[in-house]
Amino acid sequence: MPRYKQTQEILKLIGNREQVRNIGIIAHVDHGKTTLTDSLLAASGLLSPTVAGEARALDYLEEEQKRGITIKTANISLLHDYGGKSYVVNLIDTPGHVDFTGKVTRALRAIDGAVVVVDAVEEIMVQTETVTRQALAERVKPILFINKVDRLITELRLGPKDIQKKLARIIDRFNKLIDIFAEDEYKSKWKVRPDLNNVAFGSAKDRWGFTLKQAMEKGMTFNDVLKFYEEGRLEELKELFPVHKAVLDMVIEHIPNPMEAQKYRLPKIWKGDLNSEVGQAMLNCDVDGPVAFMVTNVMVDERAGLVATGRLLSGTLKPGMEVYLINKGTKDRILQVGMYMGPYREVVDYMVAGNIPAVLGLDGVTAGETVSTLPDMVPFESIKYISEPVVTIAIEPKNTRDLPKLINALRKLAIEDPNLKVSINEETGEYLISGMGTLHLEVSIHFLQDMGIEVVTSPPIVVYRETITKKSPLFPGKSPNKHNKVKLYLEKLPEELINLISSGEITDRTPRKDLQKILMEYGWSAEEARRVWAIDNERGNILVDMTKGVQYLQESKQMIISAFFDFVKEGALAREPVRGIKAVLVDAEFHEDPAHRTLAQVVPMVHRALLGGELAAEPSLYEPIMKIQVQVPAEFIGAVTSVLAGKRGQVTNIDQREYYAVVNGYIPVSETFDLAQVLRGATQGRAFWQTQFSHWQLVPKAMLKQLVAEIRKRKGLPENPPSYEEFIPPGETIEVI
Amino acid sequence: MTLVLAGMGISDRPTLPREVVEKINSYSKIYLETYTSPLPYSRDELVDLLTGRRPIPLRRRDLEDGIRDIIEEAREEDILILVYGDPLIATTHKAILIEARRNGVETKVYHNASSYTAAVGEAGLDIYRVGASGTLVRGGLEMNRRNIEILISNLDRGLHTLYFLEYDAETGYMMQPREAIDILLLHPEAASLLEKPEHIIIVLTSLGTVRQRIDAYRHPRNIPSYMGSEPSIIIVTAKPHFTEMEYIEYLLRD
Repeated sequence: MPRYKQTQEILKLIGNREQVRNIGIIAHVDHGKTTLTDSLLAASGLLSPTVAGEARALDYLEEEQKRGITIKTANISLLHDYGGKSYVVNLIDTPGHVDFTGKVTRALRAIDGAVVVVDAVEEIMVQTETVTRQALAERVKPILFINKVDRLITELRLGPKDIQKKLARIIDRFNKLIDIFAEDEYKSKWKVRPDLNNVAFGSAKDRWGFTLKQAMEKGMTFNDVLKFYEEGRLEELKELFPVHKAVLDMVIEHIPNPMEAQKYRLPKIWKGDLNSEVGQAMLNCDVDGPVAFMVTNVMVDERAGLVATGRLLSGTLKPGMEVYLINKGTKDRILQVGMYMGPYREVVDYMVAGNIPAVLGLDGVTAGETVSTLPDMVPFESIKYISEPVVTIAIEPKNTRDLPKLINALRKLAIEDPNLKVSINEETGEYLISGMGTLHLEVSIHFLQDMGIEVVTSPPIVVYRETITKKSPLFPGKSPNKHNKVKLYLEKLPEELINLISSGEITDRTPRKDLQKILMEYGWSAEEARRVWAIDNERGNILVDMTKGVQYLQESKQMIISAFFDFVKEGALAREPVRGIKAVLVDAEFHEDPAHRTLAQVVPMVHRALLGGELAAEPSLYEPIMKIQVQVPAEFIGAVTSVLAGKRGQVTNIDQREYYAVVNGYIPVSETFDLAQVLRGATQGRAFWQTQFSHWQLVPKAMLKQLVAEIRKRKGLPENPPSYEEFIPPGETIEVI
Repeated sequence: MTLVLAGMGISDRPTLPREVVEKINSYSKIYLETYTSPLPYSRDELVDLLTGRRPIPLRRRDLEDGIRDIIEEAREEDILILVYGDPLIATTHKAILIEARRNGVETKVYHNASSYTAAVGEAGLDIYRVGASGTLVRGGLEMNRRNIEILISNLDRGLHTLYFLEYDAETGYMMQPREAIDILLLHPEAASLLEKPEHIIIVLTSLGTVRQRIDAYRHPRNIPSYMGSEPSIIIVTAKPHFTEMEYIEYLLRD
């Protein structure tokens, strides 16, 4: 099909949302997502079929091609004919690699269905599970494509009966996932069965695939497929059962169109009033309603500026339109509206609700932003991340004249990858990048090098979190001018509550009564729950005001909150971020005259009391723990478990598959930096593994003192942390409560 | 031995009790507090009075965070801290004395003229009729809530309100009378009280010096923007007693 016709046809069709599908392809690394995407691209005519397999159209970053994994999110629209009608399928390319799942979650919010690609040989792996689970949490309907069936035939040399057994097992395991992670009302509806045609089998590489129905229609069996391979008749197989038809037919049939999907997905992704004008407009996917655009990805285009991509749930986007960026609190004008076609954006005059547009011209727009024509629209939920940055490296340009270039590039990186945190160490002037793992950081460094910036990096540093292990005494604070006092204490938050905060489930925006309900489930009194002053979602801490009748407190509220945030960014023990603390203000007394209770007086007063309180509460450190999955031939199981044991790791289970074993376990991040060499050495290079952040764990008591000293030394601080007595103002005392 | 706080008054030239000047060399260190008020004279002029001794300037943080060091110095020696005006009125240096006493260090205070009492007097008002005071600061109504409250409650009780205006030594910022009045006018109730002709607004600048200016206005809109940047005090009077009014007549500009 000629290239240019595609754009016009697609634009015409998207007006009719019944003929639109918004999907993504999710899969464990190297299970064939990119190859499948190429075939789909080839089918809609945007790439010639012969080039599709090699060009890997969506991976236009050389980096990705070198590593064979997709990093950036891009979108394309495809055109597919089914049952006599033409359909537009918006395909969001989502990263599958373990270090980037934050981006996957974001992409999931924009789609209604997902094609889950599973390697027939490796079967369901860690990422398959994690990403499918996230999809189900966003009420995204999954369908299954079991890929690399060619390997079963050519490598494993399985007969048709064994092939079917293996495929059946994969389907079974997949349905178990749905059973565990889908909401009750979707459990039975969304399970896959070959006879329902929501499962397809094939080989993206060899460009063939079929659902049971398609196979039966042509009287095809696995025996026949074997024959085709034996006889080298792959071209014929491809003609008979093009893989794009298998997958896209499934998509059209089983993934709901945006109008249907938004009806049941909206309550999950938006907590505003469903009966409001915009609520109704979104439920009905109304093109004439107010604009509700959920930005899920922002990229920096050197020439065009910020490109915001996302799901348009209601209204129509047009260039020149004035819109509000709700989270940022600003007003702006849309410069250009675009529709994605492969790595290219086509400029269009409008994009209607139910689709995935690209918008240019919104200053300072970020992924997670809500864009609307209504200034007071309730924003979409904050993105729930399940991963946190756990490794930091310090970075400098090799040549100092490259510094401005580096700063610019780092800024760009930080915008495009919200999981990458860029900061400056004020004392040393070093730039610090924190990411999800060494791979994440390596990729960022290569990105910089591709921009022509040579950099020097430090060895990787683990990011720890400070916390307390018992309740602090009532700790006093006094302002430098001695005219203001405060009393507060610190308490630990239970792990589940910390997770609720870190995941963004409860934020400063959560309506009071919902917040109260949730906190009371954790044993908080109604009073306490009502008096929450600040929630630190980034690190998992809360500030509560339990003072009574303190004059001038309101005027100092922002200053106190500011001191709280100064504290949680760098704790007293080792200046690492703080996690899991509930700080409670119990009493305060301010000088009447505002000039005596300025920011410079109130902030240090509260900050020092918090630091002292932390030190008086038996502080400790959390270290990040990764979940690890290692695939090795069975004879190396012992070697792997030894390596893990020697690295303070833990083995949780060993799964013996037919041709190899899968060892599952946990390992502290601090032990992962030389993991590659050690594992390869112990297994003669035969091991493959993936790691993913799992949870924070208290550092073993025996290690704490030494570890704190090391961190402090690295930061140029005296090895021993201060004692809490140093923070008690003269003439004041602590009270044990 | 002793931590001595001495006020230098408010005039064009610094003044100190004869006792202090005569014993000037018995002080092993002489400090000058520089952050509560600008000085109307040069450092050199002060050095002159101190018969050649050059005082060490103290910023806010030296006397707040660093007070322990100074008190320790005073344990073994006599330390003198010079302050504009009177040491214990608006500058609330009592915190220094508390800290010294807590640490068993002796203290002595030499009083001197204060701009507070000078202002009340020069405005022709009775000290008995002055209510709660405040410092007007930048930050609109948000930061000046209490200043508005005292205006309303003082007037309710027939009392005058004296306001110091914000001075930031680090940046040299000095709030001017017009800006101060505008803050009070932001509040509707305060504004209507100020509009009443019987509530007179008295603006006093550079008190104690040759540049001293005292102007009274019946209506806030008549208060001009003053040229330059002089330390100022404004007083909002309740309905003046007749004797007060007789004095104020000579100060009225509208």
